[in-house]
Amino acid sequence: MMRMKIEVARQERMSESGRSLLRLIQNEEMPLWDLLVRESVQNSLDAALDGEGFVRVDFLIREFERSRLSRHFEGIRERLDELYPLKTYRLLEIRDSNTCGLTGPIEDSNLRMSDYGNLIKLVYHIGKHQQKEGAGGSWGLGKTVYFRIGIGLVIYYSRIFENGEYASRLAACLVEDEEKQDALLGNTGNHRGIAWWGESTADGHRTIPLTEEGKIKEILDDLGVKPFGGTETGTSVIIPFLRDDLRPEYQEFLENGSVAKAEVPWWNHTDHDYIKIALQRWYAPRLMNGNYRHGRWLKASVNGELLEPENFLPAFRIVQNLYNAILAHDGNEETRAEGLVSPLHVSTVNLRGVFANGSVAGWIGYGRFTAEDLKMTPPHNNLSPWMQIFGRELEGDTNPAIICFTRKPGMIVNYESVGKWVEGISRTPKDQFIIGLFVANSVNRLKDDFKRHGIRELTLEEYIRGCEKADHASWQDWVPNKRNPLIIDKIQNQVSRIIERQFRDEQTDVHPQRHALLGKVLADALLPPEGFGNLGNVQPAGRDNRQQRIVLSGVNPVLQQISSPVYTQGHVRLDFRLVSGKRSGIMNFKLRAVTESGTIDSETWEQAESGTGLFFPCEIMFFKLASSNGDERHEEAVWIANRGLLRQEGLRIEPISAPLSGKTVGFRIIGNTKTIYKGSLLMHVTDPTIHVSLHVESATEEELAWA
Amino acid sequence: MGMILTPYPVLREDLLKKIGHQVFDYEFEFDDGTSTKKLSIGPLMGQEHVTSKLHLSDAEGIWNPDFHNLRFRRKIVISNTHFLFGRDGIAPKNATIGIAVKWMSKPSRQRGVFAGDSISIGDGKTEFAVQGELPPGTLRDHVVLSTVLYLKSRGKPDPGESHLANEPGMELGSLDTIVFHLTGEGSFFPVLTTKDDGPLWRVECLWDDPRSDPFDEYSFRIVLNENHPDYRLVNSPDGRTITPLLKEICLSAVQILIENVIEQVPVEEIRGEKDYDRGSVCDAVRYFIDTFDLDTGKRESLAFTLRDSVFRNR
Repeated sequence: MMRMKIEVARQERMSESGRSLLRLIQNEEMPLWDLLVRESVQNSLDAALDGEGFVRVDFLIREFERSRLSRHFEGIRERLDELYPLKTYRLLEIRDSNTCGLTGPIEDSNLRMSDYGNLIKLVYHIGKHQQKEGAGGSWGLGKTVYFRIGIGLVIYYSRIFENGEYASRLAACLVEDEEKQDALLGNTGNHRGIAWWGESTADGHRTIPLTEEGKIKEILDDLGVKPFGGTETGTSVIIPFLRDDLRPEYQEFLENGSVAKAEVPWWNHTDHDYIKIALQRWYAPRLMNGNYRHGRWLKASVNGELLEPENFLPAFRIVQNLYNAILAHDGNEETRAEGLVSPLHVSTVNLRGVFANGSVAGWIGYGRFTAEDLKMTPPHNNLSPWMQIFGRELEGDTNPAIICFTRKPGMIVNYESVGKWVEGISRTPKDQFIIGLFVANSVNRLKDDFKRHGIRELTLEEYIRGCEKADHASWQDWVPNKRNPLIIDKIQNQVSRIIERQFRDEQTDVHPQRHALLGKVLADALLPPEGFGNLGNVQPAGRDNRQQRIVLSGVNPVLQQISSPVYTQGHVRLDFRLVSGKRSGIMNFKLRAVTESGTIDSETWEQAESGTGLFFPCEIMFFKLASSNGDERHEEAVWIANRGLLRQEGLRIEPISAPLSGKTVGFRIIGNTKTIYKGSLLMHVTDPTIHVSLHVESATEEELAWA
Repeated sequence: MGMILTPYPVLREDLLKKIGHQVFDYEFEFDDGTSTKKLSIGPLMGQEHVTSKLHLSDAEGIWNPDFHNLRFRRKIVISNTHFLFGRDGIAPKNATIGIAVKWMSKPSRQRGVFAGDSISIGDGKTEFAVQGELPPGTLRDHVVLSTVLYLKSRGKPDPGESHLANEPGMELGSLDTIVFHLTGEGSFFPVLTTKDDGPLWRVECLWDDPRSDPFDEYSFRIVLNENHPDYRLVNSPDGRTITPLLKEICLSAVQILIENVIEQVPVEEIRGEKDYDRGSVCDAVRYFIDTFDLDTGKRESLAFTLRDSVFRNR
């Protein structure tokens, strides 16, 4: 029988204890199941394999035999048997596949922090920052929720593919309140409520995960966990001794002096129903949605039952429809979705002066939905969106809007019905509901003045990730550099303005028009000619002068056409003037083919991989160059195809050939500096549809040295 | 540097002189939803002598290439079309030449071509046209229009014509190329009009952050009410004169603007040109204070100095 070795974390200075870890995330408002679903699915999505398709996450709740578990745990076996006397208890298995699994080194000594893999970060470290952009988490603290839904014991099993082979790993971790009476580690002396199980390291001081398939299989069998097989990789997180009090409580309350029972939604009766709803609530944009575009979509099941969009609660179906409407957004503000009477609206949220690429901060998809849209009427009789989203009814005669928001990972950060997201939006009657989804334009970059020195760029995704606190439940502006960009604040303002404008009564919906003439006349009187506005009559300085800056600086050689080219069938003759530069008389004169995206020289053209693999479309048949510097020393060179150099006086020319066809496509000219040459060229063209460009440039330093 | 060489003859200076061509200005218009409106072409400030770079605008300032189409038409006269054909021309005698406008808007990464009338030898036609329409959202910042000739249909080359282009689609040279700027940095004072039952005018301060939001009608605006009986006292008959009432409205609005901004950003920071963008609301306030030597110490002194120096010579 396989018994795992224990490693107890001892009390040390400045170290976290189990008690403090369990208190780290203080989101008291969110039910534990919701926290667990958000965190565990995020971990799985962050570990998605590259490529298309889905990430699969299965939630499984089943019974296990206590003694078959406890016998594998050195140091706490007796304590487990004593504290948990029943034969069987419940466990939760969260199993993901199409993910990379818990990869990376298995031992953390002698490693730099940047080299920690998924395994060490998830199992052995807590509070490590997520590096990957687009990742859900930013704080690395979310996984502490695993320790709160059972007795603090968590078993991690994973299969990975690394260095060309498949490998399995299994380890366990315990985090408990060390001051508790019934602490499992109570008998192990000086401890701080944290321990790991696995294989002993050579020095016996620490443990590392089990890696032997046989030993792993034995433990998995006892827990009823199916081993990963074939080419499957993924992770299974097993939490034994699942608590029974994880669903929110619906307490009795007093109404008109009498005792009434609060309405309990149907999904609150069993854990597996509750998980299904929590998955829809937080992952509606990505769950069972093949349209999702920032990576793999999410395929999830609970106790073997797949979640299908047609069975989503209506509010979450709407959230997914809004997300898809934003993806399909083509500038039309209004679209329809199947099963909904009310239209969906999509508007772009633009912020000026913040971004480097245009102004789009994101998109708001929204609608004003009726009780029919939300299937609250017979025969469906669904509970109100308030129940679906917040788990409680809203009191009062009118409904505020509900706005939710998300970034790349497709997890709903939160639903808001109070505060800045909805402040400016008029309330609707009791049977109408405004629901909106804001999706951030993750790829936009903040202007350079907002990013800290040394950072290459700051994307909106990164900025917003910085806006989320450890529980990822809200967005709060921060100051990446000196000045607060107030992006969230402005997004919130605009979202409420856009929605309010759409649903405000027609009467007040008259947009003032620009008075162009008065605006210009007043600008003349009040403003400088440029800088405040976007009239096309003034162009930024420098924009148009670029071309003129290429003047005869004298350093580089210059080519000029003397007269119109002369055409005969398949041939072009051209007379030109060539002025050599100040610095060097050594020049490369070359033909290049003109294409839509620039010019291509013969080497690239004739290459099979990066070019066409065909012969260059033209070649030089005749080339003559002679100096014309008055009565100074005469230089001249003449070359004819098939015959070679005919004459060469005080000037050297060497033909340059294309690599494949061997056609002459240019000349290296070794002449003098500051000289005016007159030249003439006959070119044979094999493809009359391709234009040719003549180039001359100074030879490179290297070529000069060689010459 | 490069020098383009076509493998066949194209329009060049000498040929252009012979054919006696005349290109007319492009005519532009757009649809605003209810009617078709003209766009006018004007020179760029400081480059009034340049005819290849112009800007495009409409009298009311409504046209926005993101939301509106752009339709153009151009007339071209070529008196001696026969010079285009034959051995010394650019196409075989019995080929057809087409006129087209190539357009390209680099900032929006869009380009295309509109084909127009065709030219054949001996049909006596001298006047040609080309037109096209670009849908909303196609153009950004500027568009380059180039009127070109191309080989429309192949001819049977006579002896001595075999060097001429004879593949349909081959470009035979361009008559001219003009850059039309759609947006730029020209100043505009945000005055808007509406028609409602409200007062004669109102001012709206809409900026989120005066340090980064540009000074334009989305952050600050004076809205004049055309339905109000006193509107005639605001708007002069020619639309170009600043009436005394309009002056007062502007001065009051600018006072509200300045007071609101210096409540958010200390006036020392504004005058010190610290930490705000060029062209922003803060920058406009800085310009007003410096240019008109405004005293922002007290409301009444601000009101006094505004009236003492703004519109002085108007």
